[in-house]
Amino acid sequence: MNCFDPKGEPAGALERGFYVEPPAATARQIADRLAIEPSSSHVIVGGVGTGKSTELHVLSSKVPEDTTAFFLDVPSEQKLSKLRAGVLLALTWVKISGTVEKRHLADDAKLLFDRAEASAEGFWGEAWEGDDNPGDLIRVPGILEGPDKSDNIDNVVSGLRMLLGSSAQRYVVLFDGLDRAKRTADLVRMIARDIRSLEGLGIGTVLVAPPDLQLDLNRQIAERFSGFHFHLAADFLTAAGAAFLSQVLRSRGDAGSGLLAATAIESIVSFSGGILRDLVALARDSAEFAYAQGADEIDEGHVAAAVDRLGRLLLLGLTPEMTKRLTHLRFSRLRQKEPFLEFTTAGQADIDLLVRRLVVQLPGAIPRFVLHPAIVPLLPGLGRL
Amino acid sequence: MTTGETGASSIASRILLTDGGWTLVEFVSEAAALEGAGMLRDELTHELGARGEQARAVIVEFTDAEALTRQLAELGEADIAILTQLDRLDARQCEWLDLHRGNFTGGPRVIFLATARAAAQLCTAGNLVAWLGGRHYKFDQTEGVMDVEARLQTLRALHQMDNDTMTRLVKEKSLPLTPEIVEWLILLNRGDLLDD
Repeated sequence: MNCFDPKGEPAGALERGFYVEPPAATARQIADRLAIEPSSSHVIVGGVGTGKSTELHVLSSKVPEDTTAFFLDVPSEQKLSKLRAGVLLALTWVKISGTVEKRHLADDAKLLFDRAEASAEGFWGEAWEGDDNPGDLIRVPGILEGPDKSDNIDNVVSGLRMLLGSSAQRYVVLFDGLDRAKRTADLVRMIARDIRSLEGLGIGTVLVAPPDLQLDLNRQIAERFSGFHFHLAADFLTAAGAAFLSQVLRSRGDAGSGLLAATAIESIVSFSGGILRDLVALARDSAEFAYAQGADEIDEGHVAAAVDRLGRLLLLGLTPEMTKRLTHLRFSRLRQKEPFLEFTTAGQADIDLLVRRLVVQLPGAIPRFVLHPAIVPLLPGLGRL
Repeated sequence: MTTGETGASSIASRILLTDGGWTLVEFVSEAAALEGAGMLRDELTHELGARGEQARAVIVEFTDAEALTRQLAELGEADIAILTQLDRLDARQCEWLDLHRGNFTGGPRVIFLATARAAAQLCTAGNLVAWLGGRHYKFDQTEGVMDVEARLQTLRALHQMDNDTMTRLVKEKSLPLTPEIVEWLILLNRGDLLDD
């Protein structure tokens, strides 16, 4: 059952051969574009658990031979309150300068190196006359610690330009984790300014962005990127999407003990909403119910129990606004034949429903939204759960 | 099949079915959660020991999100952190944990012991909760605890005699001390008759 872990690290899953290329083939598309245009910038937007980080990891192994890829989980490197213009540049500096032996640089290049390093990361210096304790060693913050100053950013850009100018090596930086950040003016400014600077330096960038970056208000930001990629749930309502999701399960089932009956796979796929993490979790939880019953194979009854448990967890802690909106969506869905919702991400309640994957966005030229299939059987009792 | 209440022993064995994954266990009160934490730690420690695993099950008291990150970083990937005092979790802390989910990659397995209120609060951290899958149990404190009267009734029906008759026959040494009779005596707090 270890092959079905919704918390599983993408890198570990790749090593174990669990990766099945999704229909959107986001990693391959970006890799192809970076091969032609190494300094192009790309943004990936998609729901929780759809495999965006996995695509970044896949991408890091698909870059051209003369290119080094750096993977960065931005919130792990930098505090939320300090995400602002210059941070992505400074983080890039830390990664690229870490590959350089400073002692091999010429004296003038060393000067630029030191200045960029101090501007990005800060430095220790003596307190001046007039400070509280003149002569004491104090920490002078850089971009990653203190307020942003334009000369700090300029110094980092100069340092990077110097390093890149003296090497044939190309770089692409994969910024993960910003999809978990709330969109703030500082965050938008950071993305807009730093991506442009990195592109100007010839550094390729791929950034996983907050889901509301796709909203009309942020079109101007989205348009700054060379490529805008939706990495959404797989379309479990189409034969191709269902085949992909089945293949994901089979690749893991074969690696495990082949516990899954064909009908159970079909059922898990249809209740997963096309979300990879829920697909894997449903397989694991179904296996757990089978184990508790001493069954040798996972059947549809075990899947039904797992679906019920996932649905209840998804509905836990809804705000009154979300409950009201879900109830409205349920009734409007009952009035029509198609499973798709009349849904726009115009308000905060709708964004919250998407972020909590109660509503799932499916890929297509026209955005299509469905209720997460695991919550649908529970909606008539909403409020009594 | 229902997803009803589950006790410490069942939860422990289910958690150990996989190496990774996080779990939410819901309690009726914070006091029950604290008591349940000890039961879960003991069950997990026993199971881990029986399997010959070096991993530890450790109770971690939640104070704030940043401190939790440091506490979990001190544990190994195979260890299990049993998180208590989650009523201290507020919206800001949830947001912080959600954003910094990447910090927990490669960290220990985590079991959140929460009241209904804290569980609902935790579920606002959509990215973090995605790691639970559907692993959410309601804690049954009585699992594994014997219903003594029900068991005595079964023994009386099985041997077709009442408690007094059984103890008299044991005193007269006219009833063999089978395992069931020994159990019956112990349930009646008459283990002293076994020494005679």
